[in-house]
This record gives sequence, C-alpha cells and structure tokens, in this order.
Amino acid sequence: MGFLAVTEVLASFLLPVREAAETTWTSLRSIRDLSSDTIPYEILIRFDEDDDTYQELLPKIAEIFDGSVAEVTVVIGPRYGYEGLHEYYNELATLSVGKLLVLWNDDVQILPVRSGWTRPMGGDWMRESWDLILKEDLENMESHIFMLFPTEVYWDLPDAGPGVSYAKGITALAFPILTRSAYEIMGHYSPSPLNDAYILDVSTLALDEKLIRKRSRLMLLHQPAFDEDTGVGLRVNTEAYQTAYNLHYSEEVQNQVEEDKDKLQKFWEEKHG
Amino acid sequence: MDRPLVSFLLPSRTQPGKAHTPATLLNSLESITANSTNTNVYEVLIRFDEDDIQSIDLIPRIHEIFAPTVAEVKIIVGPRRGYEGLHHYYNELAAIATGELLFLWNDDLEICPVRSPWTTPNGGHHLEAWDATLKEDLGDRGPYIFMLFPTEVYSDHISMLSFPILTRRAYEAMGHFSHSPLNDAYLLNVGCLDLDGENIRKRSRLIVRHNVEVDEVGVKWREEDHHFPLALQIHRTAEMTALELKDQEAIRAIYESGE
Repeated sequence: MGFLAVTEVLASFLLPVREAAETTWTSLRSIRDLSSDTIPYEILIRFDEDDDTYQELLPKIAEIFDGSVAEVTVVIGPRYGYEGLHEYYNELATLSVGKLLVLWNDDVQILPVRSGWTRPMGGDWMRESWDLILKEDLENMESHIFMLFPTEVYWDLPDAGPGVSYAKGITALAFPILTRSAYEIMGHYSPSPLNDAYILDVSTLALDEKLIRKRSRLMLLHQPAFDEDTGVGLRVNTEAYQTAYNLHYSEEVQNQVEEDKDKLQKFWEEKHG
Repeated sequence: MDRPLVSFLLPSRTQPGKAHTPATLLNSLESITANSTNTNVYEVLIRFDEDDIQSIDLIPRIHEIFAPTVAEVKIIVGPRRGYEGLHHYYNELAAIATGELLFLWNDDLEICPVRSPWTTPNGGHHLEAWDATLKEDLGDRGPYIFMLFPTEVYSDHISMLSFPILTRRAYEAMGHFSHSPLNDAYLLNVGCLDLDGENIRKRSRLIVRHNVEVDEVGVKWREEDHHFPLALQIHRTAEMTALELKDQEAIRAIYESGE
C-alpha cells in the first residue's frame, strides 16, 4: 500500500460500518465497478471493535479492490453508537487525504447511468464512471462552492411507518461531499451526530448571494433498511436517535453551525478581497 | 432581448384507447409549469396533426395552463407525417424556435421533482426548479459541449439516451434538428464526436421521468404497425450515416473556428 499525496487523491469515502456485512459488500462493489479506475481515491472504513463482522468482511474488501487504484484503510476502534456518529466521521476525516470527503453509508450504492454507445449505432454500451463525474464537478467548481450533494434516488421502499420521513423520490439531502478546503477551514467534519443535517445547516451560507452548495451529477441509490435493530429507517423511534436529535439542536451545536459559516465566509472574503 | 432559455419541441398525437391520451399530454405540460422558477423565459412549441381532433380540442386548456407563466406557447396544426416522418415535426418546430437550447420532448415525459435542502438553518425542503438547473448546466458546460441529455428515470434504471437537448450553436452548425425519424438515435450518433479528446455531449442534472407504461404501449403499438419498421429502415441506411458524419464535421468546423 503506497503513500498518496493529497493532490493525487480525488475522493475519500468515509464509511462507518456496524453489523452490515452484506450491504457493505454491495456498496463497496458499486464503487469499484462504476469507477474508471484511472483516478486515485480512497476508502476509509471504521468498524466497532465489538462487531465481529469485520473478520468476515476484510478478505472480501481486499478482493474487491485488488488491482484497483483505490487505497483502503480500515480502522477498528471503540463503539460510539448512533449518538456518536460524528465521532466516526471526524476520525476518518483526519486520516483522509482526498480533495473531496464523501459521507458514505453501507446502504448506499453508486447508481449506474447508461450513457450511450461508443460509436454510431454500435460499439459498447457505456456507463458513466462516478470518478470522472466528480472530477468534472471539481474542475467546474466555482469559488463560492464548498460542498456538493449527490443526486440521491430512493427506489421501491417499503412502507416506513408513522414518523419516518423517507419517501420514494429523488433528493439532494443526505450525503454531503465536503471539499478539503471546507474541511480544513471548519476544522472538523461535523460536531453533530446528524452529520448530514449539520452540513446542510452550514450550507445555507450564501456568498455573493450564491449558496455554497451544489447538486452533483453523481447518482446514488439509497436503500435504507427498515429493520428495527440495524436500519436507519426506524431509528427515529429509538432512544439513540432522540439523544442525537437533542445534541444536534443543542445551543452548542447550533452555535457551531454559525461559527463554521463565519469561518467559511471570512476565508472567502479574504480570498476575494 | 435575450433568447428564451429553452424551447420544448413537442409533436403529439393522441391514440384513443391506447396510451398517449389527452391526460398524458396535460400531465407532461403541467410538470413543466409546476417545477419552474417562472423567471427564466422558455418556449413550448407543440405540433398536432390536423386529423387529430382530440388533441386540437385541448388547445384552449394548454393556453390556460401556461397563461400564468413566463412561457411562450405556440401550437401548430398541420398535415400528418406519421412516425416515419417524426423528424419533420421536430425540424418544423426547431425552425420557429428561438431558445438557446432545443429540447426534444415527448408527451409521456415529465419533469421529475428533486427535493432540495433548506436554505435557512433547519428550514423546510423545497423542490428544485428545472429551469434554474438547466441554466446552471448551460453555463457550466465546456466549449466542446454541443448537446446535453437530461437524466432519464425509466422503470428501474437511469440513462441519458432519449431526450437530446441541442444547443443553438449545434443546431445552427447542422442546419436542422435531425434527418432521421429516430431523432434520439440520430443525435446520439452525431454525439459520438470527440473534440480535443472530449465528447460533445454531457448529462444534465435535469431529471425527467419517462412514463414506462405509456411508452411500452406506444412502442408495442408502433412495432405492430408498419410505421416503426419503416422508420428503422430509413434510419439504418448508408445515406443516414453519411448525414450524421456531415453533421459531425459541421460541428467540428464551428468548434475549430472558435465562433
């Protein structure tokens, strides 16, 4: 495993996993299969030390990425629980070197997009490569953009039940991609266990009357498990979610949102006079 | 005066008792108005066959739908050209279009709403407006991009194959919308061109939902009658391939001239 300089690595996928061997495998497989495999990227995976599934998964992960341009880093450490979900992302972010820091979940896959044929009425069917899309997004990024949100597709979800807001459709809400500069300016990935909501709150900053976020062309398939024990779908009804929710809406975290917005604004103003 | 952002080119013919009904067409048009900022001027150019009374009867309703919007609507009623003459409808509409983008539209297509996050901390969700997205994508394209394709949600897959959006620069370089009744395939073929190592087409973030149920019935119906095989026959000729290559050369010439 070689050392990669910051400037070489396009994206760092930050993936905390717990008891989700099968979905993790499918998710990682989609990253590998739908990459052009020409641009270095890294996957940082965090397992809880009390979760044995990593023993099953590690050889499979090695097999998936064998011979690819991806660097995979696996960290095994103490359990923080759902209310400490941000701790996992912050931990992985400190190890990352990519230009883009991608919040990833085990129940998300890169969605294949059929993009035509290689020569008139013939040749091979082409599928888009996520890394080429992200590279283009990065190259076209205007100076006021600090975060991207992929286009997220919910497909054929079961009835989630009362109190669960998931609905079939297309959104740009839940999987923030921070630029490295945003991460460095803020000094963390997120101080809230509701990482996506926190970064969305920060993304309400407008610079020169333009929001600092943009929807990426990257397409994701999100299939949250509506399982009482492990799925996010019913987590809203759990004590852990309530704790996380209360922490997110605490004065301390909400003040931090404003502090992060101020830092980004100051950085941008200094850069643009 | 600035050009409209986009011209929707929409030939439509109802098939009573089959699939393409007045309701399908009206749903399609309403999806355009429902998800727009209503600040960027756009055109909707519709072509009905003169023997299609059911569609012609919809004209007042169509004007009613767009009356409160910034859209300019033009409806042409003319001779039937059939499926094998589908490109004639698009060329006819493109000739009167003034938009910066020329969007091949079908009546079984709808703008797909995308839920966007809040714009104030902890605020509510809102739906993204297609015109804002398209305008941004138009601005973001490189100089080598001559056509955009919307992100098409079709059944259980996503593609960028069937609904080309030509830039005015491409249309003017080529001098027409398409020579083939299989307009999408024709433009995909032209779109195989690379300039300076970059492909001339790009997927737009604009998301459209292609009504599978209507489309499949329509495809089945076309395959059963003689129109589709005839269109396919017209499309798959050496002459058509030569025209595609000629269009590619026209686009290359405009690109290299820097105009």
